[in-house]
Amino acid sequence: MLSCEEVVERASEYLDRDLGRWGRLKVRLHIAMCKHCNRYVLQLGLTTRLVRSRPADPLAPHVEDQLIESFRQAPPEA
Amino acid sequence: MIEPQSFEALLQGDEQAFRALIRRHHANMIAVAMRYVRERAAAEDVVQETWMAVFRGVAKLRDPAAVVGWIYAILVNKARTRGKRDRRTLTFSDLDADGGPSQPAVSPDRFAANGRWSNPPLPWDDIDPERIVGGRQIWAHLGAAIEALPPAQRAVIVMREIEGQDAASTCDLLGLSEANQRVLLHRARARLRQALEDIVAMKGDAPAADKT
Repeated sequence: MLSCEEVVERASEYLDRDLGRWGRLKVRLHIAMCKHCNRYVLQLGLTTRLVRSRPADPLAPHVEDQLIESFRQAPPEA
Repeated sequence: MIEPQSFEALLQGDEQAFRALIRRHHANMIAVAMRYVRERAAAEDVVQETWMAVFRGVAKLRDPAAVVGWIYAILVNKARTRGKRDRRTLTFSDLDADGGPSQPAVSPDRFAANGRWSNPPLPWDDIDPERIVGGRQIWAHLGAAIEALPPAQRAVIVMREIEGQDAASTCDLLGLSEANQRVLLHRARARLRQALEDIVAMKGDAPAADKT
């Protein structure tokens, strides 16, 4: 039986399906019985989804314009 | 991943397509460059040089799926060179800088001696944190937490979660072993989860605020 601390250390690999079949089963057994670890794993997955869907910070307009200016001066080679 | 039409437009030298590319990747590129150079200004230089190389070379590409990896390969190469030039030698590894290879992702204080939670994760009330703290605020908070990650963790999270690169190409681009990449990714996620827990806890003290 894995301890909570061990489950937490494996939580990313569990979510990414990087654990072997046996390793995966051990985590599943634990989180089926432990609401804290279940919560941790759910929250870690939610965190990852939020990171992925976070809108990009807008770029300062002068940065973009400067880059486009140099793009105009250096058009791509064919 | 670049859509086929945008890829065509890039090959044609279409300005709008380059604007879109810059908007999408510029800030992420700075984050990755910061793993190699210490100063923000140096990272900005490196990213700008990278864009020049991208403008000049993009017409030679054939595969839309390879564009992002190609851009980052140029970036890392330039950032590494610049980092070596600027700094006396870097004597510690990424993992040492992040607290040593044996440092766990979640503080051991939160567990009892038998490995069980003594200070378990706070409930997020079974709803997503977006609803608790309001959209804009959570994005800002999460953005700040990503920026505050140790450089190698930040580079890995940007490549994996934001740029959507898989583990193999992330290892390749950042010169990491598979094991290190996995540890850095897990630590980064654990820290970001903690940052969200912190804000949820803070809001919990003032439940009436920000619910609308």
